[in-house]
Amino acid sequence: MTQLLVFREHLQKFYQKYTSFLNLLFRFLIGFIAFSSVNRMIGYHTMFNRISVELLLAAGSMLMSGSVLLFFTAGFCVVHIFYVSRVLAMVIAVIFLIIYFGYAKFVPKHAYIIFAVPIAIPLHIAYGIPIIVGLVMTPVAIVPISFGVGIYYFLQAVKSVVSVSNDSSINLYQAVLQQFFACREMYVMLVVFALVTIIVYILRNREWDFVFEIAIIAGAVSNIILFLVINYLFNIDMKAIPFLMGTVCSALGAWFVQFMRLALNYAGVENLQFEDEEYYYYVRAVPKMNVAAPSKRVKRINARHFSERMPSLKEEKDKTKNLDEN
Amino acid sequence: MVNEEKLRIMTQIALDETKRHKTEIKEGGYYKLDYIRAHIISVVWNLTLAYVLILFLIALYNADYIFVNVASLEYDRLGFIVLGIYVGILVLGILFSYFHFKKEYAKNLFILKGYYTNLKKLDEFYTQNQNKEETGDDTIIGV
Repeated sequence: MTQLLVFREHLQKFYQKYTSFLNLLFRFLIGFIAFSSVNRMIGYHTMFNRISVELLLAAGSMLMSGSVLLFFTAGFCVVHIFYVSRVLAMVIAVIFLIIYFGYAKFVPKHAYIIFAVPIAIPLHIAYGIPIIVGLVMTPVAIVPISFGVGIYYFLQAVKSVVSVSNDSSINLYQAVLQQFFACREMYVMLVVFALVTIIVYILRNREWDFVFEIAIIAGAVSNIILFLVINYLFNIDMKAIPFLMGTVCSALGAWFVQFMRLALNYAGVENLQFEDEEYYYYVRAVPKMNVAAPSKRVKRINARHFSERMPSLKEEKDKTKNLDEN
Repeated sequence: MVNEEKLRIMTQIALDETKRHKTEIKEGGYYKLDYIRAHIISVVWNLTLAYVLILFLIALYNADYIFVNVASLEYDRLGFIVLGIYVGILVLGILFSYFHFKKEYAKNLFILKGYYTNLKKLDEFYTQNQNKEETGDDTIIGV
């Protein structure tokens, strides 16, 4: 554990040292992941579905703030769909506007969750989002998670309808919407993600030792059980190995986030009791774990180097050498 | 000479104004009721826009049906339902935002306390400097 804490300290110091450079790098990576995910999902426009365009846009996203990047990603989706159907492009643009005016404008931070979910689902790491959200937010965050899941399955419906139809009229929109509402996997994901968020949120508010770790494990286990049971009941096929691997990786990712955010020393718990005029208090104080990272200083002892730097010493050394020879 | 304490306070103020509490400082000049009212108006406007867009999507989905039955549609009933849902959404939105922004206002006040304390400290620095300049012996004795 001490090693991990030292590692955390080193990581924090490293980040503090190169903040401006690392921030740019993270923005580039986030931009690249976002644009390449859109390209992999609905990359219809041949001009934009290129690695060079993804790199160029990712480089551009280094200069953008988070909200501008979200706007550009949404615009990128609309441009791709516009290439296939103007009606569908208008519909998806209207859906983004509804999400913006109806929700994201009031809670701008939740907009990041909305966009993180559709990007994380194909990578099988979306299972970590309800766990992390349950750890750091309130159950209200179920709303942006649901929007994110909805966007992903809407784009999937667009993809599957467009692949079998040459129509570009309103009928295409109707077909997409019918497919979207008939998608049982979406409902399963919505229910499971909402339940996992609530379970993690309830558990992390308990007064137990290692409560965050317990909440993460409970979240991952309930995620696996709920998905398997509901999918079995509704006869939905799922790839078990990527799902299990994704859940384990997500749980590890959630633990890492939690560890970097807050590490508590449960061995040093103190239970206090005191009173004032109105109440009698039972207080449980858990100290935070903090370890000062040892700074390594290498002291070089090199006689030759030393004598070269000190001319007087060198002369003295030469003299004694001559005397010995004589 | 550079005054470290003054520099520290100025850095804190600059950080508060440009990054940490930009919105809170911008909205800090409002009275409680005005603050809540302004936000509720914004909520009503945004919810209305979102609702109109949802209606547009529903109408687009049922475009064929609407064009065929444009003469026989029950507009009174339809209007009642559309308006009823709109009013319901607005009432819920206003209620929720009233309590939410009331809480936000209290939170903002707490945040602004620190900012104003720093401003006061900085003001004291300048007043001290001014007093020093005024009391300093800079009288010119005539020949």
